[in-house]
Amino acid sequence: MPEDFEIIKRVLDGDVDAFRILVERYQRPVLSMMRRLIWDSHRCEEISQDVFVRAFQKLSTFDPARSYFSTWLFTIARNMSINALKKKLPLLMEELPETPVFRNPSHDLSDKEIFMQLDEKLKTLPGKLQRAFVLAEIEQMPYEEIARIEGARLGTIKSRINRARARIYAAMKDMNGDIR
Amino acid sequence: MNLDEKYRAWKERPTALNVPPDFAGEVMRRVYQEARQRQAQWNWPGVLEFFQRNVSFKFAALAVAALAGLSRLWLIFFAILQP
Repeated sequence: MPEDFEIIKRVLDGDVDAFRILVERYQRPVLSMMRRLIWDSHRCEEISQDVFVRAFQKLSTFDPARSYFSTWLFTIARNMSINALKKKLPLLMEELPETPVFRNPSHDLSDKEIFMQLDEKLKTLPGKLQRAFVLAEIEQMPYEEIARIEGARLGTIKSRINRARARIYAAMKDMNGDIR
Repeated sequence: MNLDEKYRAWKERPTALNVPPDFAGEVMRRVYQEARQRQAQWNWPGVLEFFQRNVSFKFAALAVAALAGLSRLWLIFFAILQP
């Protein structure tokens, strides 16, 4: 399987077809990240497509000496998700009130209900915490790579992930009485 | 199930991430469109690079420059000598 930089060289030399290999290689992680940041499957598909088209447009600016292609691609995805959310919501995500966790002591919550409530909690996290959490905990990306994508220091990223995790745990504790 | 287990179950749960069947196809359709537009536009750095690399063009450019220089000299001679 050719390395990313070999494919990029082919594309830059005029072999546009080779770009399909990169799309097929990264479509799943990009879509997965977008679905957890945009939360609208139709919109996230559109934005994910835009991510790849933007990557093609800017491919000549990619410097393999500075970062992996995946880091560069996820940085584009990160920026486009922020722009999409800004267009969608005039309010800053950080300013949104937190959705109260639904609690009904009369019945035990099923796993599905708990997962849905945690998803809701994740949606209400400030954008920076949400992105760091999704990339680290769900996409299993190394912290150093997240720091490069976010353009932040490693310590800042670790702090954001810990804060997001703490909020998720707090939500779970709120539901604790209902968890079987 | 304690909180840690519940947390792990939530974040590691299998999610139905179906990549749309023609996702790559749709991206490539837009990429080809982009590539065609790019070809249609004048690429000035590319033109300059071509001139720089093409040896026969360099000789041709030198010849034109020499002829232009001579013509200018002829004009000067013409002005001085006034035949």
